Amino acid sequence: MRGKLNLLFDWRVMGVTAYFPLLVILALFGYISLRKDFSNVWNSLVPALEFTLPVFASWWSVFLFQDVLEEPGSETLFSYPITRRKLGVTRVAIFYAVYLILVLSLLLVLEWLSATSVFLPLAIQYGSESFFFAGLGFLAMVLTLDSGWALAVVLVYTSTQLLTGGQVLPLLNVFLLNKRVLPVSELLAPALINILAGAVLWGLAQYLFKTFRRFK
Amino acid sequence: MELLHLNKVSMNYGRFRALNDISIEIRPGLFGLLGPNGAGKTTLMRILATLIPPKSGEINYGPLSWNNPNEVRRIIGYLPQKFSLYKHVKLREALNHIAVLKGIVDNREKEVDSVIEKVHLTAERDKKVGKLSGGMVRRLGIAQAILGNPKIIIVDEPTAGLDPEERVKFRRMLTHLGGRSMIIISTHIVEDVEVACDQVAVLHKGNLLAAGDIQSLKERARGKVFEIETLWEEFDKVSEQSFVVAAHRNGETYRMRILTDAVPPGAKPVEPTLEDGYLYLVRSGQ
Repeated sequence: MRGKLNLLFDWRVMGVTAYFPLLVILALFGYISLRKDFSNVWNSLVPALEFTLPVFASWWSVFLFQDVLEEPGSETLFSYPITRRKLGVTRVAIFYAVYLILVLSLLLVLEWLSATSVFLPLAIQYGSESFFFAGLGFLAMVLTLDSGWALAVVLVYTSTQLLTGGQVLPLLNVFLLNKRVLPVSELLAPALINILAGAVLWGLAQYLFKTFRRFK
Repeated sequence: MELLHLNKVSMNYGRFRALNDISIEIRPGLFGLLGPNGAGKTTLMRILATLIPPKSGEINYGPLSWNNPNEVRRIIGYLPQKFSLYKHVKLREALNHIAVLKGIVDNREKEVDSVIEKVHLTAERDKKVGKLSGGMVRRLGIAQAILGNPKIIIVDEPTAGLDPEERVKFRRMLTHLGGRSMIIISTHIVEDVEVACDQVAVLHKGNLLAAGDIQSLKERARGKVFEIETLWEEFDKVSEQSFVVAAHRNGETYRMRILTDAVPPGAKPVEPTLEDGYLYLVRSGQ
């Protein structure tokens, strides 16, 4: 017997919290669809999307582990013949992929409605930032073992970076804080840094999850 | 059936020695691990459940070594001391999910229903886990542990927090399951072991004080257990000179069951129980 993942159950067990990222994306779909003129919108829309899309990539990474790390007796799950890789990084990756598809769909609609080539640059920017945040949520959850505290870590990081223009932790700042759509050539380097920083978070989180023994 | 061999199993938490060279041979049936709080029972249970590796020592079940935890997980079922998973979903859904995690493919739903029936939760199968009583959650815990027919079932403090009626039911259920698998129960409640188990080991401060059948543990206290009837004024004096296992008031006098090496005047020797044997060992080990 080898344990298998059950992603639909993972979705159901999150309850209403599972729907928050969907609601955010739907709200953004609504906001974009209602706009008639896109000529002067980019200086507000690009930051607005940067404030919302990447942060919510951490949401599922946190709540996927509520029953696995937070509940008393969750150690039972680690006694099943399913690898910690599957229970950990694989689930985070699948839910990140779903989130990325939603983000890309939103950007495709934005490109179509605005008749402007924004899909690729924004996909690179928000996709790489979302990758970082998915890892941050996973790591925060493994470290705090509490979804409330994990969300607090994500929110404190996001709010301090945004309010100070990335000055608090300049080395760990993933936000570009741009007010226009940047050309792809200008995005590749920061996106690569975000992905590398994200990979460190994902790797560290999975390592801690693999060696996790602080059972409640 | 195979035996489970623990050979010089030790565990440290920093400088604290939680388990010290534990060697036990466990036969199929119900095995009770007795010990006071802090004895190292939960640590040993977690090692057996492959949640933590021992610092040193070997554990084997036939050719299977605990050095291969992924292989071991296919043959074990584990119920920890605290268990309250998936509160927002229905009992049957939760077990069905656990069956998937355990890799049960063939007749999964049928097996889930059969397990629900075994733990007498059929009427609650469509209730949310969060709505179940403490006793029912414990039974759900056993249900998830026995899913997939594991050869070894590890249960940590099975009756802690249960009311007397649920405790009796739970013990009966474990006894019933013991006919098919090896069940290892850790507890500080002597009655759990006395009623349900045929083998027992006593842990104290990380050391194994004794292991064997129930009778051999009782024998440890033979000649050390007495009953004495005393007046209230004498109660404190007797308590200071010997260890009081139980005391019952009878009008102006007390009937006391005591453990002592020196026989007090007027005391009658009595047949030792498992509790006497356990308390004698733990007190000797201090």
